[in-house]
Amino acid sequence: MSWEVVIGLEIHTQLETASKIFSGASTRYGASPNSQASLVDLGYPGTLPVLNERVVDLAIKFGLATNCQIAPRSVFARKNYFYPDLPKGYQISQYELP
Amino acid sequence: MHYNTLAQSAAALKARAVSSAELTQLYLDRIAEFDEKLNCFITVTAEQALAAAKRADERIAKGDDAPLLGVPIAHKDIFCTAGVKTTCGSRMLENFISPYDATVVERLANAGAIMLGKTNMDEFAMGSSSETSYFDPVRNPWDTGKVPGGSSGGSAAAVAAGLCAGATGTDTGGSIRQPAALSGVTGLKPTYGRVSRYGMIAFASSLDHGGPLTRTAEDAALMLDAMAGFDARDSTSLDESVPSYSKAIAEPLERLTIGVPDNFFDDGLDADNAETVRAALAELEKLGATLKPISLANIHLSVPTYYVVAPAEASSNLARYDGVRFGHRAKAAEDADLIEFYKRNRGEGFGAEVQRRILTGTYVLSAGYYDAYYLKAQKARQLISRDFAEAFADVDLIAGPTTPTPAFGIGQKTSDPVAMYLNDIYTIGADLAGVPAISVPCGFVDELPVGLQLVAPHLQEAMLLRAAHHYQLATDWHTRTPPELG
Repeated sequence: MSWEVVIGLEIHTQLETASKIFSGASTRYGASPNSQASLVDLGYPGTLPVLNERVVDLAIKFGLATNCQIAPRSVFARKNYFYPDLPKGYQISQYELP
Repeated sequence: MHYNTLAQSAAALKARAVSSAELTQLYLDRIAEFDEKLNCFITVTAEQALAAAKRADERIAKGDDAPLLGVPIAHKDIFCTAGVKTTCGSRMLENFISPYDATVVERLANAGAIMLGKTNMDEFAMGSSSETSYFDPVRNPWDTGKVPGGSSGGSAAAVAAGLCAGATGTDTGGSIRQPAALSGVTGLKPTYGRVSRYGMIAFASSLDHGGPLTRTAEDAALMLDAMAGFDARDSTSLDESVPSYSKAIAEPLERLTIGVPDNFFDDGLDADNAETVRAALAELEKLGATLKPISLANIHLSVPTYYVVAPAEASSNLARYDGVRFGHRAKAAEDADLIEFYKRNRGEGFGAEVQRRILTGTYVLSAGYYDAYYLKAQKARQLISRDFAEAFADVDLIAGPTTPTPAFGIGQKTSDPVAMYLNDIYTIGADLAGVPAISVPCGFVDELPVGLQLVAPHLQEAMLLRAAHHYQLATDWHTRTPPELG
């Protein structure tokens, strides 16, 4: 029996933006604890996410730099589960049409 | 004076015929007299209202002419109001004090309106009778043994009973129009995205619409003028200019072609309601309209489609209510771990109908069932939207009944969820398609109000309100008031 090794790399990279991806709150490193969590981050009733434009620019740049195809239409999807680090009970992620 | 329209009150205030303080006190007195019976309000903000009225009077004295300056209104308890309890009709948010104002609340305050309080509603907007509220049912001012409709029943009943000059509501499956019809007032669901959802506690994000409940279409236009418009904080908010709806309704009524869906006038519609609505359609003909039979071929799929899509979205939107950062927290148990903690908080905090919809929604989104239910429902939704678009290629407006029956008895339909769901049979389509729709009083059956529904293409609220306004100029159903309430 011979085995074939398949290795996948999931790479996370922090984007250099002044504010968070969906809440508009500051991302400043070294700020005092809990001072940069907005009502959107905390999942307060009635709050809504707004996409950070710079995040999209950086993602496109990265795609071009690594010789990838840029999707003309990209759809966000909610990944629903319960966990203490997940205030809304879902993560805004991507699934069928990233 | 308590039955004056918003327009009449605004004019009287400007003319100094009455002060905002007097008008506000008048409504507070009526609430004190009648609301124990009717249960329209969850919170009455008397002190704040009088303080705001005083400030409004000062502004009026200086010549400030904000369109709703000094006029007392109420907000459905689904809209976040800073520093004031916002319960959404639920034990889960029984003591929740919102740290911020919803855009709708902000805009109406900027237009000068005074908030009298927060109105009662079906829990998390899930219901058609205002009976699922944790704070007891709302009673219909025309017959207190009957429901006012839901989920914006508190707002509809408050306007009907002269407890406020106008009120805000939300409509996800019909929750502005259906209670407007059952309570004998005017209720408008604008185009999806016309009114910002920021601060409007989410039930079903692709179906939720904020809108006004008022005594007249003219008043609805006045409130929409203030409520509508792009909001950067709501990414589904439409970046389209807002016409002056109050100016638009005064224009002469164009000769309209009005489509009447044949499938609306079938066995599901109470015969007396049908007759009353047909009489209203004849009135529209007298106003120069041409009636044309149309068929919305897939409209029978509305209720099943809605009861897959709405619970799915609700199951996700209500996941944030875990008792950790805010909301109901059960008494700690010795052996509780995190999951137990969540279960206890949510099990206690949510009522039966909310739990039912969360379970349904989670099921239809789950692996193995997603394609059969949620995806299928999304496709059906496309068909329904297309039916409306195709109909509007031939007609200017669509008209028909708002509800299948007049107001039913409190407790009459609570043991059969599906029977309850069928109350929205004529209203749900407009939510699925996102098109604007209005209900106006058009008569009575057994001394209970009946509503006429008009539906327009996307962003045609001006034409819709104009048609409703001219109907109200030619009829007086909207001027009737509940006999027992003075």
